[in-house]
Amino acid sequence: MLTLQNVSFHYGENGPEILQNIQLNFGRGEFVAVTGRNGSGKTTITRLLTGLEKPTSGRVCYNGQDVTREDAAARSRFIGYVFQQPDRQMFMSTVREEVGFGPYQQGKRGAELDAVVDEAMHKADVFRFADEYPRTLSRGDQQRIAIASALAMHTEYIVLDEPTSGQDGREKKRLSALMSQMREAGITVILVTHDMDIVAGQCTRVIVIADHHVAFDGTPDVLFSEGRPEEWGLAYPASVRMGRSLPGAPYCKDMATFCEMYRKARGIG
Amino acid sequence: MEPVKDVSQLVFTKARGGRFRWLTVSTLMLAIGMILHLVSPSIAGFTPNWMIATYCVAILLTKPNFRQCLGICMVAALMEVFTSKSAFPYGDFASEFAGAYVAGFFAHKVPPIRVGKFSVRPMLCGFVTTMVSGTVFVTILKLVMGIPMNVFLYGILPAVVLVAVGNAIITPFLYFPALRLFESMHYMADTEEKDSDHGDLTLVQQQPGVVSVEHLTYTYPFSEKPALSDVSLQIENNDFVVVTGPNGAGKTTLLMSMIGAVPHYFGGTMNGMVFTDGHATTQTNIADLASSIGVILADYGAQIVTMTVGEEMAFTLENHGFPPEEITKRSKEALAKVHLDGLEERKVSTLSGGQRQRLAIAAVLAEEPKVLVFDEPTSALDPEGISDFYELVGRLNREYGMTVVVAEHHLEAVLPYAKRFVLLDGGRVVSEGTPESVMRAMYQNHIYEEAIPDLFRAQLALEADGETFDQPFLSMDRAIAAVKKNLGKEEHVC
Repeated sequence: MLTLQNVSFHYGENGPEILQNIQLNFGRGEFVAVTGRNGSGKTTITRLLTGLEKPTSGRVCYNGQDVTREDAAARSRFIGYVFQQPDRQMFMSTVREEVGFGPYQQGKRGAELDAVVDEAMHKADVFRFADEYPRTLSRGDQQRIAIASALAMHTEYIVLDEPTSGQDGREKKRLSALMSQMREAGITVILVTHDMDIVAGQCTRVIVIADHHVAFDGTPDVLFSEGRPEEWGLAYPASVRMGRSLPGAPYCKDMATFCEMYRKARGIG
Repeated sequence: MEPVKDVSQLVFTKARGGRFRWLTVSTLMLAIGMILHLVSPSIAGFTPNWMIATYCVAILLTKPNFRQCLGICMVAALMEVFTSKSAFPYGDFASEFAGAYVAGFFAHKVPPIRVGKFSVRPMLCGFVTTMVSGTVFVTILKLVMGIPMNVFLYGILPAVVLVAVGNAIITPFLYFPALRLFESMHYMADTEEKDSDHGDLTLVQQQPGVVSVEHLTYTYPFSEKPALSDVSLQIENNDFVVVTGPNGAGKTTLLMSMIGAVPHYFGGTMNGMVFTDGHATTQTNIADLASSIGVILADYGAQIVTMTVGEEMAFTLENHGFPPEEITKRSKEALAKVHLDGLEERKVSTLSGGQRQRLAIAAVLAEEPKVLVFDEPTSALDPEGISDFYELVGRLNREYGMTVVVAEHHLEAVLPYAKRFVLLDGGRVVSEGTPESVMRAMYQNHIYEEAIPDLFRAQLALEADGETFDQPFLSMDRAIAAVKKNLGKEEHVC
């Protein structure tokens, strides 16, 4: 269990309040989306969780322990982070070394280290790049290398910052599949995103940050049927809007569900 | 001059890099020469002449014309004069004057004579240039200082020969590593071919359109496969064309060929021709094309080079030589078009990402081009930003009559505004036409299907079940209307 207790945050001495009295818990095996307008503070929340920023007041707790004072390196034992521009977090000369850096810092050596690195690279489907220089690879591949780095450290929580923005459909599908895989392995995926299609289609929980507070914390279907997403700068996923045009206005979490509902309504298929 | 009949037979090749490659390489070599000259050890009082060796290497590597050779050698002479320990160093100006022509002669007229694996040209060039330069220098020295003839003939000239031999040895040692380094940085042409020059051809656009790509095949330098193969495309005035395709299909290359960056900036080999606003891109340089066609790159921040909004707007216009009143007028108009009016004093660092993108657009609009080209403009924007962006571009297209060409993955965002789609795959045009027809082609041929917006793909999937709809699912409203119509029919029947 990872929690933010009454966390407030502002930059510098007199900066504007970015977040006020945030109370959030993250359990195991969740697929949580953290969303909101640009500038709402959603990325700041993830930076507070990983230790890249410290709260101005409040605490961050992991399994009951207060980890507020711990920096990102210490917290990397339980939470990993994939940057929106993954090349900003790569610094080793080969993928193998990049993925191996974390476990090496954790004290692993020799055959044990190799095993952990190989396993992580296979899971993230980057094994074939093992000896390549990470920065020559495409953004999608680099994201998966960053994910492999976190997997190699057996973290329980992983934060991905806007992984699908600017990606083509093929990369998005691969990322979605990888995130599902991680969930199945018991890792909690925390996704900062604007992509409402992934939120509706795959996430188990959505947190909306607006006006410096948690404006919504619940399941996607409730957000899109009873919440006020437009007020918070969010779009409705196409499948939800299409679902409303059908008799009974069923909630359709993705287009495949919509097609099913449509066929039912037409008595075909 | 005969107009060229068959454009597809034209070839244009160029090494990568701009016209100033010779300058940067020579400056680097002369700086190295200076350092070596200052720290060089000497054997029995003889040291090789490092300045001559390094300018020989620079001239052999970059093959500048004779005027440029002279420039390089005069700088070398100046550096020699400032650091010389000789009694009368000013003879260096004359000696390096001669040296320039000798080195230039070796670079342009002497083929790389090979012994085994290595060319002996650098060695010969080093020897002969030093001999000539040295002889000129010591002759002047003799005349000025009044050195006796026998000292000159039996003492000084042999010393020149020894220095020349020294240079013959060190020049290859400098040349081959430098050559390897520049080749690995892709700074050198693969062959000894000269860059093409289409200056005296008459090229006539065969197909109508403000941009006409005719039988374009293009290969990047050091690439085996062409990035584009026999691509022909016409862009009409006031068109809104979306170029799409998987990564590596050639979208950016196609856009770069419209603005002239291919071939002038990237080099490589180009077959066929591209005409932008009537100008053939091989005959017109990028700066001149910029008044007809403007480009906004995916990394728009890289295009912004000044500190304030006003300065950025003025920058390109000043480079084109517009008078101040014209600059102010065009800046105001362009900023108004992108809704950044009145912000001339704002520092660029205080602008948001979306505002910076609009500033890049405004800077391009200030030149009043006919065509705007965008390379994957939405990759760094959030959904609100994306819809604001295309709303702006759509307005520029509809209200101001601009022609727009966009390379885009995010087809949902651009559908409401696009008039035509072009699908590229593996460097070829696979399909082009209305958005609907191209997306159907993508679905049927399984090319880049994942880019098809989910909404339209749902329609295609339902059509595969035998359903028909009276409108295509190109927008949410049309899709909902079509679905309701079908369900309305059903309810009626029941």
